Amino acid sequence: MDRLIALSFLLCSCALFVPAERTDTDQIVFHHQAAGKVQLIGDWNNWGGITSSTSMVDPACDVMVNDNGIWTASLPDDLPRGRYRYALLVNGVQFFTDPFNPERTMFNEHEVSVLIIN
Amino acid sequence: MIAIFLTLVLFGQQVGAVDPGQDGLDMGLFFHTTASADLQAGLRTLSADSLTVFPRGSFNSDWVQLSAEAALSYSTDSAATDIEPVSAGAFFRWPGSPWIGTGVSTGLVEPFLPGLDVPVREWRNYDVIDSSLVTIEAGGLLGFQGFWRQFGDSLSWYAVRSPWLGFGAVSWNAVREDSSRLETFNGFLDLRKVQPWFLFVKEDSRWTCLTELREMKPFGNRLFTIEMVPRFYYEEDSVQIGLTGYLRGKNRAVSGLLGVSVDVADSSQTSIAGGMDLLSEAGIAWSLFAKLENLETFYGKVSGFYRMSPAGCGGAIEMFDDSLRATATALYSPVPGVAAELSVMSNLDSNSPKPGSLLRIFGARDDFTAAVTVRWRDGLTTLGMEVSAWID
Repeated sequence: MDRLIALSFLLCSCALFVPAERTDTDQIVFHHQAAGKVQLIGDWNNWGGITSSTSMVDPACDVMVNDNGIWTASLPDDLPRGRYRYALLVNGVQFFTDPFNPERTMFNEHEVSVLIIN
Repeated sequence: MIAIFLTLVLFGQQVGAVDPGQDGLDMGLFFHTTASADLQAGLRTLSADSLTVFPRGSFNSDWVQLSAEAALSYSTDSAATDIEPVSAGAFFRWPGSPWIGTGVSTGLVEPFLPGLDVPVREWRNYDVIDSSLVTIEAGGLLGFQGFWRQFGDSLSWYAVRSPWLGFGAVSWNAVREDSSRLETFNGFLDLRKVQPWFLFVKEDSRWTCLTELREMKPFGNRLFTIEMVPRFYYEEDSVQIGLTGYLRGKNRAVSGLLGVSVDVADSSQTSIAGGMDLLSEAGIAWSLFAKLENLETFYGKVSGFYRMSPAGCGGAIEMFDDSLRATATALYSPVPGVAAELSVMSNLDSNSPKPGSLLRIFGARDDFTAAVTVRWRDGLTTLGMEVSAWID
């Protein structure tokens, strides 16, 4: 009986911690089933600011494409080489870092991701 | 002369600030309003904090790009409407060329000097510098771009950025603010197996240097790669060396890092950080992060969130030195784009920071967002509302 419990626990743990497959490594990808809109905002688009002094985010700025809860976006083609901070903004209110990118820093009291274009 | 002109055209690139977009006239309107109330004093304290409409227009053609934006704001206190220009710009280019041109604009762009790990100068570190900003930009000659931005009469910002030179790229920035002066020179080289990134900062007479060696990947397979990044930081009274390893998932949703930084002159200034993010096959997003700054200040966080439709839930435990805080979150989304989120934070010991909780209901669809938030913190209960919309 103990072995059965241990085996069940092991199988459950595997399901909990086995990484899911990525869909496309060339794009920014984010999973959020309940989101109505996810925006990719960062240094290159002035953080979606309509007027940056008031910290408002343009609801039409760089909205990601939704496919059954998997949100994807491509970066601007003409982005100059360099380092950029970015974040994923869900429904205009919640900030998330990119879980597929280990590089992070702080911006405006939020933890954000760092993108390197080279 | 013709050869020089053709060379300039062939190597010409777009001016950075100009997005040619589609030709023709484009008009739009952005609407934003916020309101708040102290719920302990009752809903009668509900009042509009701001109500602003931003009309925008732009015109693009082969020769010219014009754009303008204004702000119409209504104040409930004075019952008055203000109209202010937000930005305006005019850029001209040589028709038929990739981009040889120049332009001028005014608006609310903020100072930002990029760095390596963190920027040298941040957005929003400044008080609002009013709309007296004037920008003059030029670009196209051999792909080089440059601008001069004048903020009021106190702050000037000059920049020149190179195109991709085949083996690297560089940029130079200078900021003059009253009597002080800040200059940066940064860039990187591509040496195939390794990329040295460098940043030199001169603030008045004080020099700082930061370098990194990127793209060194000692291990990799079809699932993930590991990149090792050595760092070197020099300041007049401090020399720090560091090494960070990054785990990047190729076909699997996993990433991580482990890094250490040591001050050569003072070993007590050693910092260590590590973290991992993982989206599991079961649909749970796991996150683990810990750092120890100067061998004395500890922060650690572990969280897991199951984010499905129509409901999700998760939790996090954070540790600040000797204090512990736990957060539980529940999410309900009856239809895509509409969700209610309840987040409750609790101290696990008396040393923890005061907890705060919130209930938020939000909706978003296309160019429209709306949110209603109730926050509990420090014995206060506040209600906030926000609506934004973009109308073409």
